[in-house]
Amino acid sequence: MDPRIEKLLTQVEKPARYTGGEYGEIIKDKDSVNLRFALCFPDIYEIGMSNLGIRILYGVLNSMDDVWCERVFEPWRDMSDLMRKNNVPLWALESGDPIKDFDIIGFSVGYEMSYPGVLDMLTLAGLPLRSADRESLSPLIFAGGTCMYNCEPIADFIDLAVIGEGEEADPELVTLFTEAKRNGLSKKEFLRRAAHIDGIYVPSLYNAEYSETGVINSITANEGAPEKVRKRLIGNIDKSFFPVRDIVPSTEIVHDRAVLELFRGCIRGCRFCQAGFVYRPVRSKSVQTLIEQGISALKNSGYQEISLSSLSSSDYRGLNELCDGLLDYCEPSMTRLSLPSLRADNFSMELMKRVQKVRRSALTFAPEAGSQRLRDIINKNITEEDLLNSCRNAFEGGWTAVKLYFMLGLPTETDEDVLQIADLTYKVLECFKKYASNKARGINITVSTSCFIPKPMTPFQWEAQVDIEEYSRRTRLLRDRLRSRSITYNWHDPRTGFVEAVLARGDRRLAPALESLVSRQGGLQAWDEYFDYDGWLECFRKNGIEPSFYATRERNTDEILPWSIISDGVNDSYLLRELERAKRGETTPDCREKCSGCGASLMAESGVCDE
Amino acid sequence: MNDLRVKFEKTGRAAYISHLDLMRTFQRVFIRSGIALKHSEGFNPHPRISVILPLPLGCRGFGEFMDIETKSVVEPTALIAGINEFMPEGIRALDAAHPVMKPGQIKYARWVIELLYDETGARNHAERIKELFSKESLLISRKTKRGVSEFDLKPYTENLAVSAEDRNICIKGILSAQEPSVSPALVMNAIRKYLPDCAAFTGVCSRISLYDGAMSDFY
Repeated sequence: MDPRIEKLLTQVEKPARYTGGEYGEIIKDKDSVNLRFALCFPDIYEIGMSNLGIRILYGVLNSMDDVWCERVFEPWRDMSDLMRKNNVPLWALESGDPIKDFDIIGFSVGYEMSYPGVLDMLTLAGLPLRSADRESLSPLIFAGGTCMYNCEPIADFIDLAVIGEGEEADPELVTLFTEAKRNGLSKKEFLRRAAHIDGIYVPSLYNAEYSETGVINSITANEGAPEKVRKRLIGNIDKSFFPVRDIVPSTEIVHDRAVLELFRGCIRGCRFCQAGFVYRPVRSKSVQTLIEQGISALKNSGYQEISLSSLSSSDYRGLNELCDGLLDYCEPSMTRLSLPSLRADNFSMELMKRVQKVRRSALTFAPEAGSQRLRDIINKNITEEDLLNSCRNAFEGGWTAVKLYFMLGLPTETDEDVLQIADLTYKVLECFKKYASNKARGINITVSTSCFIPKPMTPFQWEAQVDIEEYSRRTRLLRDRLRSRSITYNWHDPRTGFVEAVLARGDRRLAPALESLVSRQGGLQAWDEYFDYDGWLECFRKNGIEPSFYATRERNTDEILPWSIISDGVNDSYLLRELERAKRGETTPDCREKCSGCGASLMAESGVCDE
Repeated sequence: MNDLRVKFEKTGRAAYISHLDLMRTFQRVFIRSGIALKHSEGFNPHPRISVILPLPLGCRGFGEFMDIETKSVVEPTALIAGINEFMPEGIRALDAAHPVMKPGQIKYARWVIELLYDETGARNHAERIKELFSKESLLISRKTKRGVSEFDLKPYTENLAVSAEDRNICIKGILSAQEPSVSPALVMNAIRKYLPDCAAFTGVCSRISLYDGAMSDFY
C-alpha cells in the first residue's frame, strides 16, 4: 500500500472504508488493460457498497477484458481533512492509484443531496470542477443514476450523463471512448459522437435561454445533437448480468446481506414517486432465475441474510413460489429471508409470517397520507381497511412493533388530512389492544413523516412544495396529537427537504451556488452532521439564486422545464392527464388491471409490459 | 476432537479490519468454504469461533490464533487449504492443530515497531530513543476502564532493540501480552511524551509471536 495513504489510515475512524482488499474484489494487471475506469459513488463506503447499481456496474464493466473498473467512495470528513492537509489525492480502492490519472470517472447519483459529494470528490481528486476547464479527453467525467433525469444542476461539471440503465449504455460508451483514445480524438469531437449513442446526454451541446421572469424561453440543441434524449433500458432482464459472485465487505455496511432484484418498474403509479415512472416498463425475472441467483449469491458470499428488492415486492407474480424455493435453502442453513416493500394485504401478511419464523422485525407500512381523500389524490391505492386488517393479522400473530410512513405537504393537503394521520395511528393502537396475542408486551408504533418533494418526470412535477414554516406548523399539529407512550413520532428536517426540492427541479444557473457551497462546507450534505442550511442560503444569495423559485413555485403546465430534452418513455400528455385526475381526486387503476397508456410499453422488448 | 486452533497471519490491507469485523469475516469464510462450524445453543445461535488476544486496529499479525469447533472432524491440512481459498487479501491460515495451551497462559508478545519519518534524521532520533529505553522507569498515562492513570511501562518491556536507517527506526522486543496488556501504542506514546522532537512519525506495528510465561511458543 502507498505509504502516504497508510499514514492517513492510522489517523482516521473506520480505516477499512479506504483500504479495499475485500474478498471478491477484482484486481487486474494495470499494464495489460486499455482503460482504467473509476466507478464513483458520492457518499461513504457503507452507503455506496449497499447500492445494487454500483455492484451491477462493477461486474458489467469488469466483464470487459480490457477494462479495469475500480471503486471510489466519498471519504468521511476526518479523512478528507487529512487528504487536503497532506496533499494526498483521491484514490481508487483496488489499486490505490489516484483517480485523476484514470481514463473515465463515472458517478452514480441517486440522491440530489449528494451533488455536493460529486464536486467534493472531484476537488479531492485534484481535477478542475467544470467540464469546460478540462480540455483533454481523459479523464472523461460522467454521471448516471436516477438523478440524471434532471442533471441540470451539475450539467456544467460533467462531460455527459447516461440516462436510464447504465448496464446497457456504459459498455457502449466505454467502447466508443477506447476508439477515440486510440485515434487521438479531441474531447469535443468525442462528445459530439457520444451524443448519438442512445441514452447519452451531452449538456455542453445544449443551451437554454431564460425570460425576464426567470423561466426557460427555449432550449437549443447544437452541433447535430438530438432534440430528445431517450433513456436506455434492459430489454431482457432475466438474461441481464446479475452479481452473484460479488465483493463481500470486510467491514459492516448498511445493507450487509445478499440482494435479489425481482423486477424493475412498478405497476402502481403512485403520483409522487419518481421511481414508479422512470423505471417503466415493468420487467420481471423468472422464479427459476431468481432462485438460482439467490442461492449462488448466498453460497459465494457467506451472507446469512438475503433480501428481496423491488419497488413493490407483493406485486411479483411468483412471490410464493420464489419464497418456497429460497426457504428450502435458507431454513437448513440458518439464513434469514427478508421481504421489504410488501403491501398491506392479507396475502403478504401470510407470507411474512411464514418467512419470519424467528426474529420478528417491525412491520412497515407506507400509507403516505392519513385520509382516503389524499391517498386517492396521490394514487396510493391502499385503504384503511387493508391496513387495519393487516395489522390485526400481525398482532394476532405476535408482532408488537409497527412503523408507519407518511408524507406531509402533499398537494391539496389540509389540516384535516394531517390530523387523520393521528386518527389512523390511534386506530392501529386500538387494533392492537383488541386483537394482540400478547397485549402485556405493549406495542411500539413509530410514525415518520417526510417532506413531499415534487420530482421531475412525475405528474406532480409542476406542483409547489409547501414552505418550511408551513411544513413545521403541520409537524407540530401532528406532534401534539400523537402524545402516547406507545407512539414515537419522527419527522424529517424540512430544511433538507427544501434544498432537495431546489436541486430536484433546478437548472444550470445553480452551478455557481454548488461551487460556492462545496468550497465552503464540502460534501456529505445528506448527513445531519455536515448539512448547514444557513450555508446553503448564503451560497444561493451570493450567486443571485432565489431558492423559492425552484421549490415553492407552481409551474404552468406549458412551461419549458429544465429536463424537457430528456425522455423516460412516459408521455408528457399522460403526466398531465394524471395531474388532472389527481386534482379531481380520481385514482388510476394499476397497470395490471388496466393499461393507462403512458407510452412506456413502446420501450419494452416485446411491446408489452409486465409479461 | 473437533476443536482446532488455527494459526493465521493478518497483514497488509487486512490490518485495518477491526476485531468485530474480523469475526464476521471469518464466519463468512467458513460458510463460503463449506466447512460447517458448531453453533452455540440458545435463542440466537452463533458459530464457535474465538480469536485469541485480538490485535489492535491497524497492527499486522504474523502469528495470530483463533479457536474453532467444527461440526465434523476436518483434517488440519484440508481445513487450511479450504479456508485459504476464501479469505480476503492479507489473511491466511498458516497452521492448524488441536489446542494445547489455554489462552490465559499467554504472557508475552514479540513486536516489531517501525517508525516512519518524512524527513531524514532518524538515526539521531534512534540514539535518543535508546537512551529513553535505558531509563529505570517510563511513566505514561494510560486509559483503563477505571479512567486515566499513571503507568510505568518499563517493567513490562524487555530487550527493546533500536536500529535505524535514514528515514525509519525499527524497535524490536517483547511486551507483556496480558495482565497487563501492553500495546505498541503505549511505547509510541512514551516516545511522543518524552521526546516530542522525535514524534513526527507514522507507526507501523507487527506482532510476530505469542509466548507463555516461560517464553515457550503458544500453541
